[in-house]
Amino acid sequence: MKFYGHDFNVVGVMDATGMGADESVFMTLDAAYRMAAESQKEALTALDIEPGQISSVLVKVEPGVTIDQVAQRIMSSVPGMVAITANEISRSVTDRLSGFLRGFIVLDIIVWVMSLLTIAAIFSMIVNERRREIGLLRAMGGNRGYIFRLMTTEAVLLTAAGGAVGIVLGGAGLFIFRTVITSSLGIPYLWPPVWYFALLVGGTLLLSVLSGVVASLYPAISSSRLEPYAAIRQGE
Amino acid sequence: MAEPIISLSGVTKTYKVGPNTLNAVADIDLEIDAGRMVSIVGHSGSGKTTLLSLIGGLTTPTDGTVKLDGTDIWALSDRELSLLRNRMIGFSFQFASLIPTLNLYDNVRLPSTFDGARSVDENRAQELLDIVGLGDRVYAFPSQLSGGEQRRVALARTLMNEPRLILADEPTGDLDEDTEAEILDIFKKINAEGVTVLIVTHSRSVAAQAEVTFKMHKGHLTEAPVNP
Ligand SMILES: Nc1ncnc2c1ncn2[C@@H]1O[C@H](COP(=O)(O)OP(=O)(O)O)[C@@H](O)[C@H]1O
Ligand SMILES: [Mg+2]
Repeated sequence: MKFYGHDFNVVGVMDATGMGADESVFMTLDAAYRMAAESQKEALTALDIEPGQISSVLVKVEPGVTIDQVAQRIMSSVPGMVAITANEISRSVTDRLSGFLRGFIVLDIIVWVMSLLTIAAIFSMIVNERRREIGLLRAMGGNRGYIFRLMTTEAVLLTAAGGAVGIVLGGAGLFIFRTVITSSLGIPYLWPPVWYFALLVGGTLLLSVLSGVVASLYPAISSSRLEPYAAIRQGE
Repeated sequence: MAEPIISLSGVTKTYKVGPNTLNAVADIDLEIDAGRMVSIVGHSGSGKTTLLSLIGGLTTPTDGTVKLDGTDIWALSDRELSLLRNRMIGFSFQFASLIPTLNLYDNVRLPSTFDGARSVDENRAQELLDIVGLGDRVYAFPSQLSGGEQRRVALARTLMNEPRLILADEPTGDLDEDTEAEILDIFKKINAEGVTVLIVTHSRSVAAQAEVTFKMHKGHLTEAPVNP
């Protein structure tokens, strides 16, 4: 592989981490200086790095010494040097993410409970409007179980369809705005593996089906318990 | 002697209306033999619909027993009673009673779908719609029909499961004379085939079409002379 006109052998590719380091190329210091020197005539844009120049050094501290101590010592002994501790680099990503995720989960639960209540309310309304139909079905020979199944099936079909639409819209939104999301979060974006996506989609569908069952439970039970004559009469 | 198809003894239905109680049906004894055509006539509010609902097991009596073919229907489970309604009784309601989201064909065959053990003749719904004169509109929806046409479809549906007992609430309610006569003719034909028909109505002329007429007044039943 060519960098600045210099040929390199790729000896390995490291696993993705989701951090800035994913876009780094690791090479020996000598190779870097040689590449810089050759770039003056080989590359389209020359690298202006003198042998001996270094922009940053990664330091791994020994066990028993705190990172802050080492950072202090480096800064006091080398003038003009700024020490950034590892926590600030790597932890900031996870910190930002976990705060974000926690916020999301809380929001999700609130939204979910609210939609359950909404679906239940809508279903109670539907059931009320259909009292006469329910009474008629009972008069024709539909038993309580039939009415119950009718109501829950309808709710599940509705919420499952809603879940499917939500998955498609959510996925499309994520895909379309992926660059905006990553740049506004300041975090490099990694697509999760396929199985994780499948799990997410399956889980969401399951949850929407479950929501349908839970939300329609009360209206379904109460409508199946209605006396047929009362249902017909109240529905008039 | 065979059991009467309908047998009520001491049947009462009481409603609480505010602080008062109202006996919509008051201590009624009634026996109707299979194969008869019977009418009950009474003013609006006399308890006719309530009585019909009690006979069909659509509402529980406050007191008394309701027997169909000698079986106390409130000793049955919900499943058993539902199946009995499905197999034995055809209800004809006072108001338009079609399911708006189903076309005429599906409305008529609906009663046949509740009984898993039943082998359904797929042509029957079509035949019944032919009989009531709407055989060419099987894919229409109830909202596309006139009131009289809707009643005829409802009547076809009532007959779907070949009921042995038809309970008809104001079957000629708001129909013109011709349609009224047509509907009554269909009831007579069905009755001639051995089906028991019970019609409740506020109309004396309609009631007079039956073999026997009972009068209903404030929840009580009085037998009138057999129609001449
Ligand atoms: N569910 C109910 N709650 C209270 N009152 C009722 C109820 N159903 C019927 N009634 C009363 O019972 C009486 C008889 O009603 P109904 O059987 O519908 O009479 P009809 O069919 O002869 O007009 C009426 O006074 C009616 O108001
Ligand atoms: Mg009535």
